[in-house]
Amino acid sequence: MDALCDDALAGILVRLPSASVLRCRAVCRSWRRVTTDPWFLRDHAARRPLEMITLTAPPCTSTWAVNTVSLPVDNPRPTESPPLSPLLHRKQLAGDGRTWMPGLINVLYSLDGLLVLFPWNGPFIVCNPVTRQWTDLPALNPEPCFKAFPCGFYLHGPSGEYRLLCHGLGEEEEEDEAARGGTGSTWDRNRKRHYYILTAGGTLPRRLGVAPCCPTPTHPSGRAAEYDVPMAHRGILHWFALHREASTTAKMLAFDTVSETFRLMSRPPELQQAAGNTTTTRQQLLELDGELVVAAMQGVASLAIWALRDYKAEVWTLRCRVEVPPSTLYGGISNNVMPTMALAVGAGAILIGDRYCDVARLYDLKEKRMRSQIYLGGQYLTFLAFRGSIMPHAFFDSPRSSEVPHIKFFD
Amino acid sequence: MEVDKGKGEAEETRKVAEADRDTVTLKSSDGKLFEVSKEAAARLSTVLAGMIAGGSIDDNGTDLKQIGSEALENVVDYCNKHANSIPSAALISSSISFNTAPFKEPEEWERKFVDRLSHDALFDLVEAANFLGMERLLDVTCHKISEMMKGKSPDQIREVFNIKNDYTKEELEEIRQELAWAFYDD
Repeated sequence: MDALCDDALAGILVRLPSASVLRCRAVCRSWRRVTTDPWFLRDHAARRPLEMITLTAPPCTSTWAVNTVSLPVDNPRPTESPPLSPLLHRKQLAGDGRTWMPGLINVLYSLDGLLVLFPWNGPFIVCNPVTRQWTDLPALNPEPCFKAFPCGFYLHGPSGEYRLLCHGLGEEEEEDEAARGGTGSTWDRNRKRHYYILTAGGTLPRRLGVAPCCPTPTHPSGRAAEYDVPMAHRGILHWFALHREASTTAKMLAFDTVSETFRLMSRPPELQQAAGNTTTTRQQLLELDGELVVAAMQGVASLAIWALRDYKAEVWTLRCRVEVPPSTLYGGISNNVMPTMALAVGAGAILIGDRYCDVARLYDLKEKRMRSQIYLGGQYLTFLAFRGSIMPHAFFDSPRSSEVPHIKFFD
Repeated sequence: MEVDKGKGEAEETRKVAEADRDTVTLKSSDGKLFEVSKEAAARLSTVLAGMIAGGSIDDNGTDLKQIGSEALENVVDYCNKHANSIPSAALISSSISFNTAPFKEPEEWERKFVDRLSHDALFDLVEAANFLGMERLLDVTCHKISEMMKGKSPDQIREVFNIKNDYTKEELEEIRQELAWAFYDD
């Protein structure tokens, strides 16, 4: 093995799991050289299996954990849970005695092997669960914002920086103080709203511009939601129906991650009516075969895929429809939670389900049928795709704020 | 498939004359000739596919100076076995080609194929597969090697693979501290 050229050695090591690669750096100098090369790291990250983040549901267990399940979970027997790999553990997360609110908002985004965590009462955290590194993002709350809603996480291409876009509510405007009277119901509208950018490795939030003040969109489950997890396509983040301008403009919101500017884009006219009525139809943006598409889920057994065929002209075309006989659904139709989430898992296949339902379905868009049903007992499915990476990031080297709870990882 | 053993040597003497053959002849660094299915070679090796398409295949034996006869015999053996096992249920059963599943577990015959190899033969095969651009064979051989590395400490890896430790004590300690957690896993 000593005689192997770097190329062949890289060919072996690039196929090893992340922990093994890291351990291999202690073998000898040439192994360290090969496994720290940026090309090697990129290749290694690209070869990691695609997984989905799941959360152990708090009501069922006393512990709270972030896990992953391998995708595509193609399990013909829905009663057997596919194996989970644990990433983070609540007990260990709260290493310094801080409690982390269990719940779905804890893992906000997943990008390039990095997770954005929201520890409820502290700054946002960027964490690489594979290399077990984490750091806090610049604090937005309590100053300068009374409240901050995360919008999206992206890689700013020109600088190579990872940034979190937030919508922040500032202090109340003085003239509104009197107008508010004692009602208290308009507290939300009278606050100054701005978009902020929190850069990993930065120290202060950067104010981007005034954010719109519009009624809070309503999530199909009845929860108030600010911003959906955006879909990145062509370096642009897209929010289909859950954003602050949705109800007033009936448009999709787009954020260019290079110029850091917003614009509104058309939605399929055929879906406009349905978009307003989130109780019967739910739309989720996906990137499918290089196209931006929206999966319109109607009831539990009907799905339509609209593709943005002409991105510049904003022309949407119906790509396909899949109808599944309700009788084939696991647990019967009455037990089925209306699907609200979708995740593209490979060429022509998407996984559909809901965060609050532990059954997800794999739809084959080419064959226009349901391929399988997956049961993940006791798990919340985040529909966040995850691919582990051991790529180093300078922002993990800078000191953390004292506010950050000490994260420990699953052993 | 023990019968395949020594096939290369047998082929060496059998000179195939037809111009339009469905096999190609490969020559190892030590001058031994091996015959392999043209279809399998083109499908499994990007380098051989390029040579076949580009017409740079020599009927009297295409020179592969970087590959020794033992490794080339294994390459040819693998190609022929692969040709026989296709269409394999595991590889075509899925109508969806998931681009997210970069690696499919080795099949039973592939496992057996690499299990019988000595360490040296395995590494020579990796090098040959790498040279010939044989993605699947690389996956299968590297999978075997990664299984051999699993759960082993750097010391044990050095011992198993006969690698010289060229770190100083201080350097090693630094690396260990940097990645302390990685040494307790798998």
